[in-house]
Amino acid sequence: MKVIKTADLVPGMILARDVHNPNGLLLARKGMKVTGDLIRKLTAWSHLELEIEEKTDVLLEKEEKKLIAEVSQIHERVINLTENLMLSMDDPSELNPNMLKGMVGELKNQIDTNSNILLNLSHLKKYDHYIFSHVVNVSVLSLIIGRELGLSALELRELGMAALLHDIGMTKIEREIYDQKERLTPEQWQEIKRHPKLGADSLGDTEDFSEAVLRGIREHHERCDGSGYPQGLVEAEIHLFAKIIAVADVYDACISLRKYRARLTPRDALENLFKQSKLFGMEILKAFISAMAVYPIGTFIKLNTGEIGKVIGISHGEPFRPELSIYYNRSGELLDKPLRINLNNDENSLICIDYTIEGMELKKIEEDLLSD
Amino acid sequence: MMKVEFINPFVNSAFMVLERFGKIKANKGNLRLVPSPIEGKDVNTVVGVTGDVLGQVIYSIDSDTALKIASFMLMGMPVTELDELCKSAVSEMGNIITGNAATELSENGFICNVTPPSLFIGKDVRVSVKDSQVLVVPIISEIGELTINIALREADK
Repeated sequence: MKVIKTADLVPGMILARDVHNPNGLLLARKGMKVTGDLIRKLTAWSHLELEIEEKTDVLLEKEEKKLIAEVSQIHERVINLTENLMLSMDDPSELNPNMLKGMVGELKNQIDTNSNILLNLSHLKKYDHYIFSHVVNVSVLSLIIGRELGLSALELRELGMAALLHDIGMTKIEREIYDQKERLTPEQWQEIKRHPKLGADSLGDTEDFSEAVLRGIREHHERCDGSGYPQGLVEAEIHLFAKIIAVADVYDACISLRKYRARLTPRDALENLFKQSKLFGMEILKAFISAMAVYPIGTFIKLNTGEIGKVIGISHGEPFRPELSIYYNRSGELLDKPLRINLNNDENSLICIDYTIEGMELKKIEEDLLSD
Repeated sequence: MMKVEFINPFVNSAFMVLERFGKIKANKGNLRLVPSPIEGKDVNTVVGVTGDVLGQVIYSIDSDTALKIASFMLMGMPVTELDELCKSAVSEMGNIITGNAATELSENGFICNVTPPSLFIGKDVRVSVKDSQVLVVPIISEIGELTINIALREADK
């Protein structure tokens, strides 16, 4: 049990004791979950002290931890496999299509059952091994878009393979260029631009991959207005897989930290895509926002009730009503333990996201949470 | 009797949402009192209020305005039809206006519970309210008119 002031109540807390006004009138009962309605009701008695429960649902927390560990292990394993795959690309005939199918199958299963956890993992950006985790994250995002577009199981498998292999051509380019931390010179840039074709051509020689997979790889840097490379195709000419991978690729690159530029918040990355909707095609972008929501997983937000939290889950079809972990109360004080609320529950319908936290404010929060 | 204290929180909040999310400056048109039922527009968001203040508030907009609102709520995404995504964006605007208005009401000493807004599509919507008179507040801007229909009264103590 913990004593707090009404001004510090956060939606989702549980009352540990009945609340009375100074005249003894019952305002709220023990065991009641704190809602926006209750907080408004108590504004008139802001000096009241209340007792709230501190214990959380231990069993649920334990199960969730286990689940996160499981998904995280699978995610890690696919990244390692991808690393092996890409590093052993000297001889494409050694590539094992069944292993790839297995990797895609695992990712797809996890997306069907634990997509929120998987997306959370994809948004935890690590510095090193950018290219391998990037490839896996692009696959996760591509499968999520493909599912939203209603692709069949077979199509999803092919899409997943194309996504896992989309940057395979990079291994044909001098390592010091693609590992380079500084901006590329124009000559190096020309070299990098060869990777879609190099990748598709080297896999094409093996005859293990369908035309759709190869086109997904070859055309993933084409843009709907014809400004892409290598062929300068336009919207109707670009394969659907390539269009999906393009959106996933650009989004993941934007939210990743690179030595030569700052990382965008997930929301800014989405906004960035919409600003360039001519390049990506509305159909894909619409599916992407439906699946990722307006405030994607990993976004820090401020609520209209004053609390600060992070988006940790998406309710399908409710892009404005994510599940949140609340870290700070209305007074800006860090909570002992984050509190979870789901904005998609009716009781929370008037709790809204006011804005996305970025810049210095975001930096301070990330430091706070890291030192915790 | 409808008090101005019940009206301002909704109007202020609507101005704030248009400004904050759409960077849109709006003006208040001429207020008028009309007899119930309220005549809707293409898209209507209905909110019920109970507690110290009782009644309904209905936000009404035309399809064109709805598309524009959805577009700025969706970070500038072009919105061309009243689909699910568009409806959830318009609903969310109703949630924000209502949530902020409810907070302002409670800060002014009127404690109320507000039902989650529900969306009704169709010009022929007629909403009958218990009060015989409804205050119609047009909020006019470059994206069209957002009409706030307010039928609120103070609860008997």
